[in-house]
Amino acid sequence: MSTTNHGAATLTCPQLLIAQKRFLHQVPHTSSVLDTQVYVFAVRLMGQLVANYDMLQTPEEKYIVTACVQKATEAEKWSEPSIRNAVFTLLRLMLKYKGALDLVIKLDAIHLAFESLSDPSLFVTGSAQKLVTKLIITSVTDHRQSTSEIHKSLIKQLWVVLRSSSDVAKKATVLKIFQDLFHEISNVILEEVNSLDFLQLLNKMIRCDSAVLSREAATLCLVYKRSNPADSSLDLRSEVCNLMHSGHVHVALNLCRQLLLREYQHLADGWPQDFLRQPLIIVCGTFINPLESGQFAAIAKSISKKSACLEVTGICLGGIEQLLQQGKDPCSFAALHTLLQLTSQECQCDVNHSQYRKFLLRQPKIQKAALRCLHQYYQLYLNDETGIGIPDAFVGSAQYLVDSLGCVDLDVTIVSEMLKCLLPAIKLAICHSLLSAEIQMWPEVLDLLGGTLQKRLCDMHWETRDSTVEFVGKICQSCADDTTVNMWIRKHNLHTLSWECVKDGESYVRAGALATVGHLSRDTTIWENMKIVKDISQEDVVHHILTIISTDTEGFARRAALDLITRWYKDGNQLHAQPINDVYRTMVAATKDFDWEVKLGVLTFWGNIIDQVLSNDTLPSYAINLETSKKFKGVVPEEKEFETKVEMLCSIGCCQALLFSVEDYEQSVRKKACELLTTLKAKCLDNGLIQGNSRSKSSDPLPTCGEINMTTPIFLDSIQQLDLEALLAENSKSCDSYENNPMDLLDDILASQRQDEEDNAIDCY
Amino acid sequence: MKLYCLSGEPSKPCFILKFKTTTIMLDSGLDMGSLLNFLPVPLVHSSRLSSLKKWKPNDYRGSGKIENELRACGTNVFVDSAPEFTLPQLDILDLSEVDVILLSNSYSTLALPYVTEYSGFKGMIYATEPTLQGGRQLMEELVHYVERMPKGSTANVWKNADILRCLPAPIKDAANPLAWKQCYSLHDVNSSLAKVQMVGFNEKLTVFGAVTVTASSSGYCIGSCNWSIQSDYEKICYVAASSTLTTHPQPMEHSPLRNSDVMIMSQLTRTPTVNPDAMIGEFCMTTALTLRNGGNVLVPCYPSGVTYDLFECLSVHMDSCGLSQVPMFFISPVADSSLAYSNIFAEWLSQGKKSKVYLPEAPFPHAELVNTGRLKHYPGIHGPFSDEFRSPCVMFTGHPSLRFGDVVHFIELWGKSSGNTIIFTETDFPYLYALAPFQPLLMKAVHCPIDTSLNFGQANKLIRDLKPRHLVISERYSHPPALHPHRNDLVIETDPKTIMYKPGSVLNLPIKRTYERVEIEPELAASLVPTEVKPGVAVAMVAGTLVTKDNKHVLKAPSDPKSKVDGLESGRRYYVWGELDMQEFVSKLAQHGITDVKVEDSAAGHIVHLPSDDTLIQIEEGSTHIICEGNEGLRVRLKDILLQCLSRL
Repeated sequence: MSTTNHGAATLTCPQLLIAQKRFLHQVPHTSSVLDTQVYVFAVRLMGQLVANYDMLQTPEEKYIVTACVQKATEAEKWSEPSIRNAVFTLLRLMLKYKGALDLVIKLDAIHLAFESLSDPSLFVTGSAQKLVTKLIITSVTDHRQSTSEIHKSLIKQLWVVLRSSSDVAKKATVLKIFQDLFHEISNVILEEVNSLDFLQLLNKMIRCDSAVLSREAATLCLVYKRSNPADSSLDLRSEVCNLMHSGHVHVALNLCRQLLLREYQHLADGWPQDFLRQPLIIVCGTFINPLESGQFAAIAKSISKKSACLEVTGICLGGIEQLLQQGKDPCSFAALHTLLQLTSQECQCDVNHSQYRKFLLRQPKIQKAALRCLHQYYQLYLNDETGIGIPDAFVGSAQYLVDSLGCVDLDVTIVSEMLKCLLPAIKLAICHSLLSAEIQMWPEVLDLLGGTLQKRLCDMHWETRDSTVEFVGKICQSCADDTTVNMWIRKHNLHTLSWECVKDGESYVRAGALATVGHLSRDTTIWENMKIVKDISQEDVVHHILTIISTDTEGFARRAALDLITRWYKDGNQLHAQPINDVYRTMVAATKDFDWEVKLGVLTFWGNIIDQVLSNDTLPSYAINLETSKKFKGVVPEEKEFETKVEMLCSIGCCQALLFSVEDYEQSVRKKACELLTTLKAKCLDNGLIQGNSRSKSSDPLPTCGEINMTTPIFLDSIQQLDLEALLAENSKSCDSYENNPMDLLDDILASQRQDEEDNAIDCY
Repeated sequence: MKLYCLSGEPSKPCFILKFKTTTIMLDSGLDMGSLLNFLPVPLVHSSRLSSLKKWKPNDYRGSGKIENELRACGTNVFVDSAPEFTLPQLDILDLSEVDVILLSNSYSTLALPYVTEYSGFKGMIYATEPTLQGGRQLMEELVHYVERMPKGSTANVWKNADILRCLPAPIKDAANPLAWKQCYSLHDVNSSLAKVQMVGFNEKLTVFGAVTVTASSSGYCIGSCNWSIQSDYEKICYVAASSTLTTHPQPMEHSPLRNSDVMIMSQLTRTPTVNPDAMIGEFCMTTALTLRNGGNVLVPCYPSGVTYDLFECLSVHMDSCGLSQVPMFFISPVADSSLAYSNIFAEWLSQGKKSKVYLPEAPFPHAELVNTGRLKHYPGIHGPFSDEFRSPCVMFTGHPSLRFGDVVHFIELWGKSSGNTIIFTETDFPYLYALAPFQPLLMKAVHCPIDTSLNFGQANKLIRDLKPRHLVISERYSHPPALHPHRNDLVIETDPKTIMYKPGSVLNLPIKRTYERVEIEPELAASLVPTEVKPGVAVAMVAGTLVTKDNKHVLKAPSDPKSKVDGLESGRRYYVWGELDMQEFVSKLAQHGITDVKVEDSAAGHIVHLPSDDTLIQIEEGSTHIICEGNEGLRVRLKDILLQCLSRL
C-alpha cells in the first residue's frame, strides 16, 4: 500500500484524535517492519497534530513523540531524507509548547540539526535551518534558567561554523540562519558576536569564489544594515564601489539588485540603479561619464572575458527588469535597443564594432532577458498616463524585432518573447498615432511584420506557429478597432491563415487558432473578408468546428472548439441561420466524450442555453428555426409558455444530456450536471410542472444519451425521481475522502503491516 | 607531377593529374551556366515567348544574319537557339593519353560523353554504382529535355566578338561562347557510361601498377566519394563535393584523407552565407504558406540528391501543418528510376537509413509517400498525370535552369497568379537570371539555396584535421565572394604551402620522388647472406636483374650466374666496413713486426707514424692514406693489416 499520495491527515474531533494516537502509539513498536514511507507518514502525521494540538501534555503523549523521534533517528531510517525532513519539521512545530525545548535537547536534536545544515537534500537543509533558527528564538524568549543560555551556545556554534568551516554549503545555510535571526533578535546576535568581526567576515565571504556564499553574505549585509541602520561601519554604497574596484562586479551588481527589492529599498536612494546600468552602457559603448571613468574601467576589465560579460550583463538586465516592473525607468531605452542589436546576427549596423558583440551574439539568455526588459519598457510607456511620449529609438526597436523575427533559425522561446514585445509595441504605435503612412518607417515595419507573421504561421516548429496564431488573436482582440491594423490583418491574410491553422496537425496550434478565430469573428469586417477570401460560408465554418468537436484526436483542441461554439452562442451574434440542429447533435454526442473537461464544456454550453431559454421572454435568435419555437411565438397560452420552453430543451437534446451526465464517472461532470438540473428542477417546481413532495416511485433507469425524442413528461418524471440535493451533496464532497476520514486508511496501513508479519513464510519457488 | 585545371568553375571540377607515368582525370563536371543565355524551350507552343521582340545591335554593320538569333525580354537579350554548354578545356592535352577517369559524384559526370566519345579515349572510368546510376539519370533527363523539343536552327553569328561586344550584360560577359557545345545524344551517354567500372568505398584499385586509387565516402550525396591516389611513397587526395552535415548519404570519412602530400580541394558551397538547415526550414515554411493561401508551389530541381531530403522534410512539415491531403508531384523522365534506385542503395546511406532496411522498411520515406499516394511521380505531363493533377499542389520538376523541361510549362501556367510560388533550392543557377525570360511574372519567387557541401569554416577545420603537406585550391576560394567583400571568414586560410589555380592553369606540384619500391624474387632473396651491421639492421650483397613491368620493379636472379652484371664479377667480393679500433691495429702491426708505432689524434681521425719505415698512415672517416715513399710492398702489407681490423661483408 502506498500512502504517499494521501499526505498526512489532520484531525480535530476527539474520536479521530484517539485513533491517531492509537496508530502513532503502535508505530515505534512495529517500526522494524514498517515501510519507510509509512514511517514518514507517521512522523508527518505527528507534525500535523502538533501544529494544532499540544502533544506534550501527558506522559503518554510525550512518550509517543519521544519514541517516534528516537526510532526515527536510528541509522537505517535516518538515512532517508524524508524522515530527517519530517523529524526536523515536527520538532520545530513542537517548540511552541512548554517543555519542548528540553525535549529537543534531550533527543540530541541540536546536534542532528547542525549536522544536517549541509545535507545533500535541500528540503532537509531547509528544515534543519528553520529548526536551528526556531531553537535560538525560543531560547531567547524562554525565561527559564535552564534553557535561557542555549541561544548563546548556539550562536557561538554558528559563528564557529562561519569562521572556520570549510564546508561552503554549511556556511551558506548558517548565513541564511543569521538572516532570519537578524529579522527578530538583532540585538541578541550582536551581544554574542562583535559587529566589526561580523562585518569583516561578511566582507571576506562576499569576495569568495563561491557564488552561493557571496550572494548569501551580501544578503546578510543588507539584513544587517536594515536591522542596524545607524551602524556607520557598513556603508553599502562604498561596499558596492569597493566590490567593483576589486573585480567582484557581479557580486556588487547582485547586491544592487537586491537593494531594489521592496524590503531593502529604503537603504539606498537610487544609486543601485546607476550601478546596474553601468555595465549596459559599457557593453553598448553608448556613453561614458568621465567622472566615473575609474568605475567604468573596473567594470570593463571584469567583463573582458565571455563568461563574465554574460554573467554581468544578465544580472544587469535582471535588475533593470525589476526596476521596470516597479514602474521606474532605470536606463536609456536606446542602450537596451543597442544591446538587442548586439545580440542579433541580422544586425549589420555600427554595433558590429563593439568588442562585446562576439560575446553577446545570439546568446539566448541575454536575448530573452533583454526582450523581457523591452516588453516592460513598452508596458511602461503604454501605462504612462502623463503622456511623456515614447523614446526616439522606439521605432528602431520595433524594426529590430520585426527584422529579427524574420530570421529562420531563431529559437522558439525567443520568437515567443519577440511576439510578446510586439503586441504592446503595436498598441503603443496606435496610441501615438504612428501607424499612419505619414510616419516614416512604420508602414514598412508593418509590411515586413505581416510577411514574417505569414511565414511564422507556417513555421517548422509548432511552438512558433502556436505563439504566432495567438499573437494574431491578441492583436485582433486589442487593436482591430484601429483601421490601419484592421486593414493590415486583411492585407497580409493573417485572418485567413489563422483560419487555416485550425486545420493544423498540432493540437496546440489548432486550439490556439480556434481561440484566435473567436477574436477574429468579433470584428465583422475581418470575419466577412475571411469568409470571402476563403470562399466559405458561416455554415462551413461551424461545420468544421463541429467536426473538430466530434472527431479531433486531442482533447485540447476539442475543448477549444467547444469554447468557441459556446462563446458564439453566448454572444448570440454569430450563428444566425446556422446549422443549429447539427450543433445540438454534436453537443449531445460530445456528452459522451472521454475527456472530462470537454464534458464540462458541453455542460457549460447547455447551461448557457438553459439560461437564455428560461430567462428570455422572446426566443433567442438561434432558436427561430426550431419546430418547437413555433409554439412559443404566441401560439400557446401564457401558462403553457414555460412548458414549451422545457419541451424545446428536451427536443434539442439538452435535457437528456444533463440526465446522462448525472451518471458520468467523473465527479466534476456529475456535480455540474446536478447543478444545472437543480436549477431546472427549481424552475419546473416554480412553474408547477412537477410537484415538490410527490416524488414518483418509478424505478425506470435514467435515459441514455442519444435517446431520441425524449418527451417532456419523461424528463419531468426523471428529474422528479432524482434526489438532486443528495446527489449534489455527494458529488460536492472532496474526492480525497481520507482528508476527512483517515480511519480506514490508518487501519489499512496497520493491517497491511500485520499481514506482512503473519504471512512471512517464504516459498522456495 | 603536374596538375591541369580544365574547368573554370570550381563547383564543376575537371582536373588532369600526371603522376608516375599515369594520366588521371579527376571528375568531369559540366558548367551549365551558359544555358541561361538561351530562350526557354516550352513544352507546348508559347505565344508569349515566340512573340518576343527580335533584337540586334543598333550599330551592327556585320555581314552575318543576326535577326533571328537574338530576342529581347525586358532589358535582357536571349539567344533563340538550341541550348549549349560550357565544356572543360579539353583541348589542353590529348585525351587519348588519359589512363583513368575518377568520378566523385553524379553531378560531376555530366561532361563525360564529351571526354570519352570521339576523343580517342581508351582508358578506364571508375565510379561508385550510385554515382553511375545518378549520373545516367541526370544525363538522360538532360538529353530527354533537350531532344524533346528540338530547335530547328543553331545560332552562331551572335558569338562573333564584334557582336558580342554590343550585347547587353550579362550575355556580353559570356566566356568564349565559340567553345560552347550542344548537348550530346543518348547514344553517346550510353556509350560513355558503358566504359565505367563500378567500385566500392575503400576498394583499392591499381592504375597500371603505378598508383593505387581508393574512393572514400564524402557524405555529399548517395555514393559520392573523395579519392586518394597513392604510390608507395606519395599520397595525393582529391576532396570533391563533401559534406559533414547529417543527411541521407553515408557520412564523410576523414581517415583515408589524412597526411597526404597534396590535397586538391574543390566543390565548396556556393552559398556560404546561408545554413542549409535554415533554408530547408524556409522552404517548408514558404511551401506551407503558399498552400494555406490556396496557391501552388513549383520546385525546379534535379531528379535526385537534395530532392530526396526535400520530400522527407516537406512531407513531415505538411503533416504537422495539417496539409497532408495536398499532393506532391514529381515529374521527370527519370522520376521512377530515381525513386526506385534511391531505396535500393541502402549500403550507401547513413546509418539511420541503413538500419531501416532491417526492420524492414524503405530507407527513404518517399517510398511510403508513393505508396499512400501523397507523392505521385510521372515521366511527363502528358498521359496519366493530367488525370491525377489537382490544385493546390507541390510540383517538383526539372530543369533547374528553367530553360527546358516541364518546369517551363508550369511557369507559363502558374506565373500569372501571385498566389503561386516558385522556390529555388538548387544553387547551379542564379535564380533571378533564370527567371528573366519569364518576366513579367506575378508568381512569387523565393530563393532557398540548399547546398550541403562544405562551407569555408568546415573546410578550414577539415584541412587542419587532415594536415596535408600541400593544398591545391581554386584562387576563387582565397578571397571573399564578390557579394560579400568584407567577409574575411568566407575564405580558405592559406599559407605558403597553399597552391592556387586558375582556369586553364598547369601546376607543377612540389612532390619529390625519392624512393621506389623494388621486390626481390624469392630464390634470389634466399641466396642472400645478411650481416648485421647494427642491432636490427643487416646488409647483404646482391646482384640480379631488375625487371620493370606494369610499373612494378622486381629484382630477379641473373639468368647466367657467371655473367657479369654492371661490370662487376658475379662471384664473391668483400666489402669492409666499421670503425677502426686503434689498439687492435697497433697490436696487429706488432704481430707483423712493426713495433715502432706512434699514434696521434688529428682533427679528422688519427695519424699513425712509423718512424723506422718513414711512413705515415692518415686514418679518417671513410678514407685511409698510406704515405710510404713508394714502398709498394710495405703499403700492401699495411693495407692488409688494416683491413684485418675492419668488419668484412
